[in-house]
Amino acid sequence: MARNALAVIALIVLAAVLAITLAGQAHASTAPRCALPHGADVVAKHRSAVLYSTRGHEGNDYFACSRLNGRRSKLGFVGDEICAGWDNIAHFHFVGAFLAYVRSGSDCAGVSSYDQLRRLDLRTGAQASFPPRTRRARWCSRCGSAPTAPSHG
Amino acid sequence: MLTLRLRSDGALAWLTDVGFDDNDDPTALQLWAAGPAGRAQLLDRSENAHAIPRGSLALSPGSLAWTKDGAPATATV
Repeated sequence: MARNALAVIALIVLAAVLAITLAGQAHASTAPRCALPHGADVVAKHRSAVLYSTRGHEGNDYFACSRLNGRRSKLGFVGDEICAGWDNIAHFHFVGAFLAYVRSGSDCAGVSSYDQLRRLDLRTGAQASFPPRTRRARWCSRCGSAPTAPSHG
Repeated sequence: MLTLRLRSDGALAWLTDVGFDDNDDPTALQLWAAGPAGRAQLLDRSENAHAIPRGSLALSPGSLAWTKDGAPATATV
């Protein structure tokens, strides 16, 4: 009797494992792929997107690959040198189908710096920028004029 | 420092330091918000960089809540 009960339980467990495995395979075959380019570094991972950087000419390009549809969106370029791209791209927040992040830049004199908030819709690839906020602004003989937001993408 | 809240419909709220003293300590702050498709709006500001506790910022469906100098405040977002 006990042997039969054990056999039934083992059968149920086996069936459950088989069902989970098949469901996983079905999901894997239909889910958008976010294969990274050779040499890419993963910056952040979330169930809705993979963020990665690739080495470019004198800096790194940052991208998001949406796991919702496989769409890739460029987040920005961080240069090796001051004035060559953004200083930093960070503060990644994922909620639902949206990613919010912050691009930090500075003027060429290293006197003023900015935070630019961005929002990416991972379904459509649409990005919105919110006005940069000056974090630091000191008098500087080299500055000449009021600092402006970096224009690099 | 920038404190960010993001809602599942894409609405955003953020609290950011503006202005720094000679010791690089923040001297003022601003609270901004943007709806799912809307433009950024300045909701509050203070010359006291500690007037709005960062932990008080709560973005929920339809509204943003925060406290300033200990008093609760809300806005429709």
